[in-house]
Amino acid sequence: MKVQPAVRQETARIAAGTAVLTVIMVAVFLILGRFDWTVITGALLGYLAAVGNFFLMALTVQKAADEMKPTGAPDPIETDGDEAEEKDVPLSEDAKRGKQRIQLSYTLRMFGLAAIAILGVTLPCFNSVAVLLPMLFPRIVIALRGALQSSKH
Amino acid sequence: MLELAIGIILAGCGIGAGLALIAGIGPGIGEGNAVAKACEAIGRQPESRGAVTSTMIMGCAIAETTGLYGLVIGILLIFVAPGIFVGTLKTALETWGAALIH
Repeated sequence: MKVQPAVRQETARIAAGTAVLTVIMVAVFLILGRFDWTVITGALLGYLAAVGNFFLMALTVQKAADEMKPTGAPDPIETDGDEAEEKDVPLSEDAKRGKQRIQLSYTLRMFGLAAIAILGVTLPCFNSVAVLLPMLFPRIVIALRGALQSSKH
Repeated sequence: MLELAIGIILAGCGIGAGLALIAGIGPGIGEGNAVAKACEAIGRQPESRGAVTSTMIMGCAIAETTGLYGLVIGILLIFVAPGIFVGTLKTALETWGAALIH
């Protein structure tokens, strides 16, 4: 399967942003005097888990979008004066398949992340905070990007 | 008495972890609905595939974080919190227990 430019671009942005935040996290460990080599291994594991999870999610979304055939259906939003009302249109088979695909992918990815987090917390060669924190960084990167874009406009 | 207190702490951590992991249900349902509607939009307007895919990826990532928060809290409650709570309880008993007896 060929990776779409949109997926590659978004993953690269998230990977770069998460890397910056991970480095800041390691620097905070250093400042607090709690730095040792388990912080580095933990941060690496957490970073790989976060970016890998995002990439797999983007791939699933791309696959769902690729499998959608053009329906040629009209836009269901009809404007009646100032009010916009959406008609309750039943989903097509392709859309239903896409929905099931992303829900299955979400479940499997959560199991994978849980396994990685449990490994990171239980094994002594990883710092548990350094494993768990980078998993939340993609959300912060997206929020920061949104804030930067809105401040530009 | 100490065993009972430790049991209550462990039960609380277990119940809390279970409640935190309930947060993982919503994002799965929401992501599915969002992707289904986005697929419908691509079906209607195939030329907007790139823009819709980008927006959908960001939306799914944001929705998924809620589940991740629940997962992280649940794992902390199961693997990290019991040790901290039981340790704090034992220290408190050693410090204040002797003072109370005397």
